Amino acid sequence: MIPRTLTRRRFLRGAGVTLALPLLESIRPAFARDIESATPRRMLLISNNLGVLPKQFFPKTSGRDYELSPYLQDLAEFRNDFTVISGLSHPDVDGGHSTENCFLTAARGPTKSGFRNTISLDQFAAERLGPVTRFPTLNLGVNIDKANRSLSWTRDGVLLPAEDSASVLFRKMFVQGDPSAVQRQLHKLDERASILDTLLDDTHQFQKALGRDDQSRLDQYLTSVREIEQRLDVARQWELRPKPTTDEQPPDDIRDQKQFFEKFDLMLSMADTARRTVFLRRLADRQRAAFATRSRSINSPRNDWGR
Amino acid sequence: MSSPLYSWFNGACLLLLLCVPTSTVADIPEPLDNLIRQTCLDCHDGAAAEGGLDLASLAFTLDDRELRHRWILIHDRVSAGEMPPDPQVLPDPDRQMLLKALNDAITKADRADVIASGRGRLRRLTREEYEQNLRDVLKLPLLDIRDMLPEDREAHRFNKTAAALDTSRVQLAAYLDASDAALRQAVAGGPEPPPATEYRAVGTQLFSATSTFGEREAMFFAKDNKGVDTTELDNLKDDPALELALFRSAHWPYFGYPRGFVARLPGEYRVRFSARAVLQTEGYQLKPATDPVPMTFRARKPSGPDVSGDVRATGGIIDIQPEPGVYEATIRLLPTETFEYSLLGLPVPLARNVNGGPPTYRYPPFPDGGQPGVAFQWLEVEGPLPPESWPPPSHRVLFDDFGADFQSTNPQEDSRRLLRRFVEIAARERVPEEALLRFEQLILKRLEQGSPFPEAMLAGYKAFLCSSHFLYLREPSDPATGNLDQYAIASRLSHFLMNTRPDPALMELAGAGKLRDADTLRRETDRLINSSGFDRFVENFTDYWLDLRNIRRDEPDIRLHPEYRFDDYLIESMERETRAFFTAMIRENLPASVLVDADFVYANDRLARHYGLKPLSGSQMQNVVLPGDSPYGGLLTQAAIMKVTANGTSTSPVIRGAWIMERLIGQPPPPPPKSVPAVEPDIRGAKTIRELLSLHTESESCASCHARFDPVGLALENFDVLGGWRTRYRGIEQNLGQRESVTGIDRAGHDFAYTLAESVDASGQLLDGRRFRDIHDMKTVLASNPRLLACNLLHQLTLYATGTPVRFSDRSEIESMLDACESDGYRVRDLIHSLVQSRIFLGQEGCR
Repeated sequence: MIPRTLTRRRFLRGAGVTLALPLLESIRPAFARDIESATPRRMLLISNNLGVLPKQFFPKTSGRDYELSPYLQDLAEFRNDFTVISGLSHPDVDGGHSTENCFLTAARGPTKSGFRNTISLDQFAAERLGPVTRFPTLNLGVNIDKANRSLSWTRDGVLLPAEDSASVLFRKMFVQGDPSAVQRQLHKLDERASILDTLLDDTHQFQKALGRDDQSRLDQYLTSVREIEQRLDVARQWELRPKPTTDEQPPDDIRDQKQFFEKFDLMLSMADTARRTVFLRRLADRQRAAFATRSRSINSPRNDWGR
Repeated sequence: MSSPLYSWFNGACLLLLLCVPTSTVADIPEPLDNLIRQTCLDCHDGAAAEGGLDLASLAFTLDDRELRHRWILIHDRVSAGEMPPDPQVLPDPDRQMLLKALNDAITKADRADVIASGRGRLRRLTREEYEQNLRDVLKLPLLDIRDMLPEDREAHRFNKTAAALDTSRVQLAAYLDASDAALRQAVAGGPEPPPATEYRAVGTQLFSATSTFGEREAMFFAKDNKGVDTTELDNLKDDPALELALFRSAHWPYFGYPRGFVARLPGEYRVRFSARAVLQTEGYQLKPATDPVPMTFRARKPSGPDVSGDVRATGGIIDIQPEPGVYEATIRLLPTETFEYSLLGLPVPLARNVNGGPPTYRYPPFPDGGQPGVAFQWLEVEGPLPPESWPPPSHRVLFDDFGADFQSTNPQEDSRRLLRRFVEIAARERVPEEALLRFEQLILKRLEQGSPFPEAMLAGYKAFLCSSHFLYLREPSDPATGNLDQYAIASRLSHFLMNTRPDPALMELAGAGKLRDADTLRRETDRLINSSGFDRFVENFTDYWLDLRNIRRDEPDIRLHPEYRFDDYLIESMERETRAFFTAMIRENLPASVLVDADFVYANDRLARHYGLKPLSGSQMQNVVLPGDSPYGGLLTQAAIMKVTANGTSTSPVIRGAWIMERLIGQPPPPPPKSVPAVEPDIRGAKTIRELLSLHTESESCASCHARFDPVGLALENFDVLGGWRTRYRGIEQNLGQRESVTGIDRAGHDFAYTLAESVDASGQLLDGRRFRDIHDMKTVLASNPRLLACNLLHQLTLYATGTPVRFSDRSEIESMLDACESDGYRVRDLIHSLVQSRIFLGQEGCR
């Protein structure tokens, strides 16, 4: 649709957030005490459907002493903590608002015949990292058309719906699940572990009858089996481990769009995130305040979604 | 590859080589040693040797694969006359002697390697092959799991190259998920097939709204051949005399689906509808069209103009005729999807917000006689269509005659039987009892741990579908393994020509040990070539060999080529032409020379216009004999080839020439030197590509190499970025002297203006001094050496079929195949038969 006017309502519609926690960390024992103090690395990806004005946002100069752009002036205090990277737009992705779904996938031509979305950056990161935290990613959205809009997509183009209810998100993070649901999940993990055991034994056997070159080909396969097994172990431990507690009350769901920013605060604090992310100018002040006040009340957040 | 162990191992090898190089030079045969000393060492000696090739210290240890590869490169450059640079230095008798000595030594070493370790390696299935294997095993022809698997890497331009088909954790996890998804689709979801729904639309229900983007020219409701005013529609609503008249392509912004239909269940739906092709004349009047209008349906969510998720053309192309008629299509829908009318080749109205005002539309001017479109009278949908039986055939593969309730009185016993039955269906070779027991143990263990019977069975099936037995293809090299080798031949043949597992007939022949019998093999090869699965070979092979998978990579630059704006139908027709042509090359056993020249093309209504031929009717590809002066005919000048070798904005003789030399002629140019920047096109139109190229042709070091591939590219300069014929270049600069300017409104309602610039000069000179005037001369030159074309084709097919490029020791075999096909002009199906019957394909044993 060709928007008639650019209203605040339109601006907010379809804004989505995806968190991948954490990025760029190699797999490590999930509960090793020595890493409690390490600064976690995170990925926070934000899309507001009409973007920002590039000229107001991107600095005109590069290098360590670059000149802050008008939008980045608000973050002047943190200038040593972030890097602005330009040139990450998707010039070949066209088709009006339909392109919102391609923000983290860069799939071309979302309105053309033969279009299928591809894996989004957060899912790609989660796939590489495995279950380092309880939730490999959190996919959140505000004022979205839940069935049709998301930043998060699987490799075969299936939409992963964003959570747009703060209370549901709160329950997921702090309220213990139903024990039978945990049992079912453990049973599923056990099944996969049994399958992998079988594959390991079987491939060893299969390998014996092969020539040397072909044997080394199958070493890749065996390594893959072992790596998946390690990740299953970690996933199993997460299922058994109780969720953290908080003395915060469950939040009310937001129906008023004006509360957009408050909701943002909540999401950011829950994820214990703030340090290396470039934000939209209008969010900056509140985001800082949110981190200072909210993160204290959460018990050992790093062990859960935020290591 | 990045494992520390591997790098350490590599490092160790390197160290060894560094310590002992000079001692092994002694292994070089005497005459070879002398010739190299006399001829090559002047330049190729010591640390400062030319091209980094120090022949004095290059070991002649040919059983080392790396070193052998380097000596092969040396052999080939001397053989091609590229080395030594001054041919006088190496008189012909000496050259022949040097080549023969090198050839004999390398062949001997390579053959020994093939005998010891096989010609190629165990190869993992590509994701396309895996999907098709599962479709065939599970009897789920519509299974769609390919995209759950990461894209496979490619090497030597193909995705079937064994060396690039690695396995990683991410991949294996994806195979587990994909096989799980496939198995769950195979299981019957209940005691009865899912209920089918019926839907019927007439009148205003035929469209989601009473108007669409593009104003009334794009779409209106008509009665008695006259457009009905929107205000009157409320009274007419379901009037069966009301027609939906549509005159635009499905292109954003657009949502042209019938009102109120959404699929709840995935599956195939039957769409029946009544329609006729019409012409719109001024004042929203309809009259019968003179030619059919092609259309298809597009599956998508009913999410308004903002599309979400898949957009799939489905149900095939239907040509709507001018006389009213009833049409039927079977379309595929996912839950929550609907489908929209997608008329092909029609205009796309321009949506504009002038000065931020409300959107307005411009429908481009009508052609003479009226604007073609389609009028619909009614439409019915029924689905999902039930399978032929219930439980469906896929369920029976997994659970035999257990119904959807899976009642088993003896799960242990039943699981043993079902597992063996499943493996018999799914495996491509005999699976040893030892392995069967292992999968059986898995199922029994799951039962013990409380899994319900069907779940435990699926766990066992899933394990098998992700096991090495199923994921890997063997090399048919070892007749000592008896029928295993026969099964490897069956799999190689079926994955080559159908991209999937052997069918029951092939499996039976393998079991009987008959696949080394020349007649049987020939008959089976012909059978697969004539089967419907052969389309998958054509698609996959041309996707990679000819880059057809990239045909939509670059949008044509609409400033220079406004006539191509949003013309998806043209692009699609181009793609279909090349695939139809390649299919005919094999099925009709055409000579290899049709790669560069032929007196016919495959064309439809749109391509006939594109190629400047007599008008054709309908979307189907028809074999059309060309007039004698047509520059078209042959793969070389097909629009699809011209598109994938251009970038959408400009054509480069360098890029086209290099592409043609590599893909069609089999003489890839060496990589360009790093120091020379690429030629940037000048789209202002001030300079011709020839002037820009002079940078390359004037420098001697560039020219010697460019002379090998530029000429072909220059001869193709008359073909624009989409393969349209041009005699003058175009530019966008309006103020360059007395340029002729062309202006108008394009098919998408946009104003355009470009200038006609310099005339195209497609003449040039070949490396051997022969001159050519244009593409006609060039085709004659290229077609005069059909052996070269056939040889390249055999190389490409060998790599695709076996996963391993032509090895040095294969070369003599290739030459004898060419000899055998020479007398009949190197016909393509003959070439495939020779390949299939060769030791390259069948392993050392060959055929009998």
